[in-house]
Amino acid sequence: MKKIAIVILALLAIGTITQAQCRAFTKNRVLPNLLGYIQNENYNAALFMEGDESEVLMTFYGGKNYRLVVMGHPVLPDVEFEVLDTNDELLYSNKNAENKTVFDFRMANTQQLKVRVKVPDTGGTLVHQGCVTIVAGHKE
Amino acid sequence: MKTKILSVLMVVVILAGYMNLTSCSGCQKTKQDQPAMDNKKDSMDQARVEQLKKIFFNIPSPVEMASLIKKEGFSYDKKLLNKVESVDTYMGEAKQAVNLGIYGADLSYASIFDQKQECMKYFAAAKKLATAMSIDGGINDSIVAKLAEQQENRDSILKIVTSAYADLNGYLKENNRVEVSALVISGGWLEALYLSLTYAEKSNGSAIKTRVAEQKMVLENLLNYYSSFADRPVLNEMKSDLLAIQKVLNQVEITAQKTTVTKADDGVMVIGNGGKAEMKDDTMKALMDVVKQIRTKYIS
Repeated sequence: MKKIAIVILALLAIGTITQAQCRAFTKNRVLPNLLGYIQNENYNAALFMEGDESEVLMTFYGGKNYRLVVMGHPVLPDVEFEVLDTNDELLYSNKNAENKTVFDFRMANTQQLKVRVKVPDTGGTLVHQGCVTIVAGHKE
Repeated sequence: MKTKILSVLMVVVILAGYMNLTSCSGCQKTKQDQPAMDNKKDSMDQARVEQLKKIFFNIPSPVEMASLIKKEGFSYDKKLLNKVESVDTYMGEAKQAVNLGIYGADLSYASIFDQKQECMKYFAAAKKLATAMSIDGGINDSIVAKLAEQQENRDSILKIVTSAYADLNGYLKENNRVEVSALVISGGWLEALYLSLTYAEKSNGSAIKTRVAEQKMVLENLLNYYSSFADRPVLNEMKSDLLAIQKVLNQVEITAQKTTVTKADDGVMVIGNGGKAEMKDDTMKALMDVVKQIRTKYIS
């Protein structure tokens, strides 16, 4: 019984460590890109596999400058991201900007925008899995 | 005894290897393993999509509301904030989480107005709550020490506060306490709304009133997020409170046209749809009444 408890505890600890790697990736690799901007307090990072796609609806205030950073772990192919309005009108795609991970923009008025993120499927023999993080920062 | 410990460790190592294959931050799996999983692929994909919905969520930070209050020329009012002395009276995870968010918004407000001593007090209260809730990430002694060192630099304090709360949010999400994270964010939003409403009432037709009206959109994001959690009792009370606020905010009229993308003189992309949020005075009064009532319930 004691042994089982030890195994379970050890596994829980390992699970936490592996999940925490996304937080470390975000802190060390992603957040330095927000230099000069005040970081948004929401945390958006998760493990993605090739072919995975996700979307987040965000509200941006009018008159402010924003920076959006979308980055994937280097083991993944270049992460694609798009910014769309609520009618699904495409406003920006990093595919048209040499797969840049940073997008700077200014809001003329307050508006909800969607950020769609995709890890392309390379079709290779190996299926890669890694952290993908979306962070936003603002400045006046 | 040694053999027993070794055999237990071996099991741990083997299972850890398996877990690393499924959940490391950057790793590979061979596609040879996939056919056996194909039958379950659709349901697994759906489960992953649902899981991602619970992680990927974003609303503006309370600091954005606080900075507008300062920009509009208003002064700091300590009396508006939740008392730090109340921290020991908050029992139960839901109430503690909401107040952790409320203290976070108060902290942002104090930071924007350069209230360094107040920041230290509010950070200490937030840390106390985080400790009571067994949250080790984000708010800890090292952050408190960092904050003490940065007493003279407002931007650094702001950076410490926002990154501490973002890290706390990340810690909760990574430790399967996503509901607690939702409550912390809701508490922060509620407090920022309360502070903005107080200033909006003092002013006449200011930008703050418009910003309050725009919370109709932010609340829609927040409630969408709540709908990704299937019947979690810990969220029920806050969800019904948010719905009560939404009932009033639904009276706000938002007009918008087609979104345009232009380039400013400095080369930055400008996005806009000419949207305008308008709120009548009686709606603002009704909003203040309901927000005050809900806030009082959580802070007392």
